[in-house]
Amino acid sequence: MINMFDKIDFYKKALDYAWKRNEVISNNIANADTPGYKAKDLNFKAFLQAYLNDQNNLELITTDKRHIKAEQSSGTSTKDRAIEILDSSFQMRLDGNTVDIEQEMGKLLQNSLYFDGVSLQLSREINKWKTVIKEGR
Amino acid sequence: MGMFDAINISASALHAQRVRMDVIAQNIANANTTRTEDGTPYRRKIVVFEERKRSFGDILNEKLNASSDTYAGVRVKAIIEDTSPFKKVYDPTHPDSDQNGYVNYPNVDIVTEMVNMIEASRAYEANVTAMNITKSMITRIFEIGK
Repeated sequence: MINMFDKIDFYKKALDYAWKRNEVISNNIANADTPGYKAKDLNFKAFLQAYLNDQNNLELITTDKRHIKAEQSSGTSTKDRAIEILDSSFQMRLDGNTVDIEQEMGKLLQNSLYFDGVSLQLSREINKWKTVIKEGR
Repeated sequence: MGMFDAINISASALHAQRVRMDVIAQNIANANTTRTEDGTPYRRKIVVFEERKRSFGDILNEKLNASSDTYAGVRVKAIIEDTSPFKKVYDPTHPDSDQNGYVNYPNVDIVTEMVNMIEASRAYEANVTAMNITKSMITRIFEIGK
């Protein structure tokens, strides 16, 4: 049986990604004049992978402290690893800052359009289900 | 991830850039100040930024929500004094001139200050734009399902 919320969940993840990326890019722009700051970005693939990992995070139940635990990533969220420092050392300024403000503004705009697009899709998906629930009325 | 984190990040940058503007204005205002409280000419001041570290509250939140990816923007780390030498101008009539007739003027270069001011104002604009984009994203969220 299909899960009616599968698609909605998927859009939710995409929105989450864009939301987080907006934060990362804003942080880059905020630190455009900070000596030694390295520009960061969010890796889409790694972010989604982290989500899937979090979902399949089945823990072995142990009833004794001598039982062997399953290999687990210790506490820290795997989503962290999706944030990567951009390799742009070739355009590093003298103070060690690697933020390219034009690039960041472009990314910011792209990201917000992506966000708008996904949220529009999500709205349509929800409206589709509304139509189904109301039997087309 | 908090709803207004991105706005707070941009706001911290706006604040930092405004402090920078204040310091630049102070430099320009004192470009000809030959006597300060210490008796020396005015020394040019420079603002140093640093990436803002997370507060105790942020770290507590992170432990509660099991996510450790909050950003906090930027902050002013220090306002330091430019140690470059003062400008020596020959003016024996000036009350602050030394026995050879030279006056120590502040190490403020008006052109440098103006350029820095433009840079600060552009950086401010960039952060306002970032904030507006975040705003449009938030309003978009409220429209989901409409």
